[in-house]
Amino acid sequence: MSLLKATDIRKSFSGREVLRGLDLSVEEGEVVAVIGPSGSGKSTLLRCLTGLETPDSGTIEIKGTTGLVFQQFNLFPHWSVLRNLVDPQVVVQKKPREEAEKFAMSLLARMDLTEKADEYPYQLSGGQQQRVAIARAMAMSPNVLFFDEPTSALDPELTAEILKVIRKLAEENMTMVIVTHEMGFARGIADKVYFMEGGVWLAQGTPQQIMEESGNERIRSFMNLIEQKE
Amino acid sequence: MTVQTMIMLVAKSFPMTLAIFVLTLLGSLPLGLLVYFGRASRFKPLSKIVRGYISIMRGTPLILQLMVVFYAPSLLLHINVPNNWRFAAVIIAFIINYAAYFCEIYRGGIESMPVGQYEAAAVLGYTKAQTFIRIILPQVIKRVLPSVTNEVITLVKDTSLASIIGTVEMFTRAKQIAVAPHSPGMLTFVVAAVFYYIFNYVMAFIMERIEKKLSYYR
Ligand SMILES: Nc1ncnc2c1ncn2[C@@H]1O[C@H](COP(=O)(O)OP(=O)(O)OP(=O)(O)O)[C@@H](O)[C@H]1O
Ligand SMILES: [Mg+2]
Repeated sequence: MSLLKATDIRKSFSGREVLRGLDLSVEEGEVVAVIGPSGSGKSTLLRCLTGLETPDSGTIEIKGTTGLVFQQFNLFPHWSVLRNLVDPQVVVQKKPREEAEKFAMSLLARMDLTEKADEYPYQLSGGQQQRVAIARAMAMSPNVLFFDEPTSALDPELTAEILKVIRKLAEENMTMVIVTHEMGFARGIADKVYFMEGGVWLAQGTPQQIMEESGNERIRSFMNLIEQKE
Repeated sequence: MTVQTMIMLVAKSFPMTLAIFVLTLLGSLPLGLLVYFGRASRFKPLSKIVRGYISIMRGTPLILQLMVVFYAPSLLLHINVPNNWRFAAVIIAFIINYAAYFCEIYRGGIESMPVGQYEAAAVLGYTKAQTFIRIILPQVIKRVLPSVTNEVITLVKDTSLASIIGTVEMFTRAKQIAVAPHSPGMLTFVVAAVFYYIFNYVMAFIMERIEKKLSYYR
């Protein structure tokens, strides 16, 4: 059964249509990679699916809750790492503090951040901050986790660190939708790849179909461009 | 009059100066936030009125505002003002004046907050009120503290303006003593200046302590 089903999503900004009728369905435990050139509307789609934007038309059905990991982490700098994970559970989910702290510590342990629990975000490296951000999203036990270019603000070493964490989540059958420019990563982890261009899907399929066998000129040139950069 | 007596008399008027200072801050710091909400309101008439108020408060002398608040009710509106109206007028005038400045300081702080903080909070499910109180406001306070310190220091000196409507605070008292027969004369003003300076020194110290307390994060 589909955990997420979006149909004919449209969104305009000041008269310019950025999303032009997108469908997306994600099965439970599935990992979907969304790729495509800058400005094609990938972030806008994630923002619509996580409620940060309201689509002009179309329907979104999600069984359960969503979480979003941002490119810029967006941790709360005035709170310790632990409080970043605990406060939303206590305030939003009304969990008992003790239970919330226990869950937070178990997540931090999984992210290899146990000894950072009492530190503040500014004291952490970018990679550590992003792992905290992932843990914070996980703390809300989302049914689908969205990532918007989670490694774009990180240098290559730290990127590898984050990709490892996301891979681990995939092994644990976390349902995820990941916007990324890391093609090798997307190929390795995704069950399906969607290629966006100008607010529509130019292609969708298995990583192999999209990345290696696509006959589409646009997709080929985009892949070549990315590979040159890598 | 001995110098000692003069110093005593000046010191006795200090509580009035302190009262104006404390009550003004207690009123204007929260009112400034309320004014900000009015200014930021999407209800245009309210936001326009609030902008007009801020513009007048910042665009005219405080000393003149003091006179208007004190005299207007009786002279213009023919209201019988209560006996303690003089003090009330001072506090009202100071609070509405400083609230306008604090509003603008808060606005700068709030508008400088990265939008990502709001978005992260929204995705986690915080309500707008929770987001503001738990996440935005604490960070804004840290950001605006240096500007608030400036206002606090200005306020210490501005309390002397209450003299214009005859409030007997430190400056008024110093003037009275200085012109009294057989008084130490100009030395009285020097003593008053020392009082103001020490007051400000203490305030600057306190504000610095608060800033230090909030420097546990960046
Ligand atoms: N709030 C907004 N107001 C106006 N225009 C917007 C807004 N958000 C996005 N846009 C526009 O919508 C288009 C798609 O933006 P979006 O951020 O979704 O692209 P993207 O595919 O995520 O690009 P990138 O790879 O650079 O992150 C862009 O042209 C952008 O300028
Ligand atoms: Mg984007």
